[in-house]
Amino acid sequence: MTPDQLTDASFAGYSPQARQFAIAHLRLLQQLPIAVAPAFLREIIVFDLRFPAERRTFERQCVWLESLTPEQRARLLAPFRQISMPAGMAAKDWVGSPQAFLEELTAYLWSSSQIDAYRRAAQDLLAAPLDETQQKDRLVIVVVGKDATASSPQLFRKLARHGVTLHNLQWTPETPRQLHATLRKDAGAVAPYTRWYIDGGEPWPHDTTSVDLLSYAQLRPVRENVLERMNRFTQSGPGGAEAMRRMLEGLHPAESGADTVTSDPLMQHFITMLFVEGSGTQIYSTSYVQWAARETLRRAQPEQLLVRFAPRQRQRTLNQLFDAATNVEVPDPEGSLRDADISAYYILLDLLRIADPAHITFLAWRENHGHAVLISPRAPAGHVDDSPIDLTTAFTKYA
Amino acid sequence: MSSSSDAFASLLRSQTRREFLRLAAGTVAATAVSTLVPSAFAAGTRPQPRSVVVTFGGGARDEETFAVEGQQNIPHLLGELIPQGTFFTQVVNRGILGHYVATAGIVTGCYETFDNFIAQPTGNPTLFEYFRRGLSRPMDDAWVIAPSNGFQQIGFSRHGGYQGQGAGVILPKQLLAAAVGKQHPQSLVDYEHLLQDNYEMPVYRPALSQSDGELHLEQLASTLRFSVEDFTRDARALDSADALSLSIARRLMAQVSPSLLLITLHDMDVAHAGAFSLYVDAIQRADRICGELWTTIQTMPEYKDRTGLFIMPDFGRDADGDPGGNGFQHHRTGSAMARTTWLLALGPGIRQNVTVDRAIQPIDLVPTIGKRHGFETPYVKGAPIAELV
Repeated sequence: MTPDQLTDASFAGYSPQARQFAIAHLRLLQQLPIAVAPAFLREIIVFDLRFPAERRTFERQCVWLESLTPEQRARLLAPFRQISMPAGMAAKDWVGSPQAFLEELTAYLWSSSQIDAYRRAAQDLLAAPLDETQQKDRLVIVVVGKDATASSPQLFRKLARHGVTLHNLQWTPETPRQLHATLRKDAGAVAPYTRWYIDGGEPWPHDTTSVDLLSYAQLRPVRENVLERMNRFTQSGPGGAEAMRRMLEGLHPAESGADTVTSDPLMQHFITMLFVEGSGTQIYSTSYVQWAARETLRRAQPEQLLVRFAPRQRQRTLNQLFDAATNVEVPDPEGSLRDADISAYYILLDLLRIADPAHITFLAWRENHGHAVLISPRAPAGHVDDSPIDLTTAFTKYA
Repeated sequence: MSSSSDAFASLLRSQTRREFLRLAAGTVAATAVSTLVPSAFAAGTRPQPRSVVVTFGGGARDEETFAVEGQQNIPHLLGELIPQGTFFTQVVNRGILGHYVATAGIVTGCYETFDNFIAQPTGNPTLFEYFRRGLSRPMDDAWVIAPSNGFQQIGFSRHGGYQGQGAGVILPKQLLAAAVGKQHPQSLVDYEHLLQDNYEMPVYRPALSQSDGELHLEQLASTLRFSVEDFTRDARALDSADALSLSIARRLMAQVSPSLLLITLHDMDVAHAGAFSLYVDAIQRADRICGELWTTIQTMPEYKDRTGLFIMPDFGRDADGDPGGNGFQHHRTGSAMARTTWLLALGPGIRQNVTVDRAIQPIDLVPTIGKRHGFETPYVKGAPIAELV
């Protein structure tokens, strides 16, 4: 089958909203080359499980492509028509299983040296103009360094050039509560999935009705479940990372254990995918927090996000091979601080992919220390403030 | 991004690489130095050459190595080795960015295109086969030490013209698992999951059948001439799998003295698990190991003054800002940073304290070594690196 042969009936197996979306944009889908049409269907087929913000983003992408003149659209799609594919690929079920098709296509693009051309074409195709509706103000707070004691003069080096470095931001026992209160500052009617709290360990006390929580402790059943499936897969014979992912991607929330964490089907799917798609999230809490923050920003596009890193387990060494007594999970707070440092920078980059810099406030802060970086339109880039300052004053002065 | 802007980015990148290396190592551009350096391998004066190739089977980015912020991680490369060698600032890998298939490309001089996750022999002849056939060398003269389970078939190709002429392969983690299993059979169950050797699969582990185990133990006894007790005792003192690889390399060099040795360091591929500090720690270990290996070469009469050492990551990793990737964690985007790495060459006939900025490819290494040793490499797609032959 080729895309121009798509009809309403092609999507009979899709879930209701996905089918409705596909039919609404059928004309566009019919015009796409087969090298890229499955990429659109991969998004559409799980449309019912997408957050409202990502549905809007994807729809805006489609509407923008539909708004182009035929010549403009043809120019954008031309590089995809140049992609050569093995003869039998079009016969595969790329409508019903777009992900499997794309994995096979990707492997072929690499082996046939077409991956770079495909990548350039995809970048151009996805370069929809920015949303011109009024930008939302977004606040992201990242707390790093739980239990780390060593000094870390290089901390936030990558962030510092983007905002003001605070060397004496006063951390008190009240700070966790204050941070949560800051998230709720602009309360009122909050739309679903716009305020999140991600924690790499046991979460701080908080109002459970005001945020969507994703803590490593809370999600332990899911990650252990996924890890156990990965273990079984590796013991069952040869395969690879891609084969493992194929095995996991159809994991139903009832199978992953996500249904024991939340009754919300969107959150169940999201939680499951954090451990299915995230590399290392099943093992290291720092990897989990970074990936969860990235996916939350990319998909849910929250307006307020609090991210707190906690110590991951220490990497096990060869020495431990010889002593089963030491083969236990030992936390590594100092290494975790270094992990969290670059992760905080990545979270800023993720934030800037969905938000105009004029509408962001970003605070990275070392837990139980005074070292922080505050990035906002009013925070002078590269500036250092050594004066004692509390959180409220810092926001008043720089945010 | 258009192809013209790609070229511009490449140019900028080239400038940056030149600058940071000059500043870092105080090296001299190749063009400013006479290119007529007499080769130590000139006819009539040369001992039988040897070559040791070290690849990093987990890419390392500039940011964590030769860029200003990364230089603290590589004191041995920067302070000890680069001043003694020729440094190529741009090695561009145009093949598949998977560690096994990319290493296969390095050892065949051709970009291999098979599934990276399925251990299989290369389609094109390997460096070891060219070497053994061209110089009529025995099997013990070419070895591979590779910690990852996927590499067990990298010594021999499927090419019909070179059957039975490949290299022996030692997989240190499997060797250790076999030895520990023999010494403490009950403990192996507990230890197995620690023998993680493919970081793209977080729970990948070496599967040891009984025959695998016997093969490894035979290798331990007959090739390395190590008792199980001595081997496990020595391994106990080591801090990582790469350190184990170095230890085995030294043992192999002392017992067998191969003329051709490939060592793949792999610890830094822990980056796939997303822990930046572990990735950087592994780079620091690789730096130390490279320094120790060069020292070993200089202290062994069989190797001193006749051995070329070639150090090269198989490729880079994704850039921080690339939306298609997740920073240092993977090498999935195929971007310039993921494709570009470096080569450091040291040894007789190789100019010291020199940088070369022109782009070369990893597939150029096999014809280069072939030319240095004097054997033909008829199926390679790369070209000899003029500065090294």
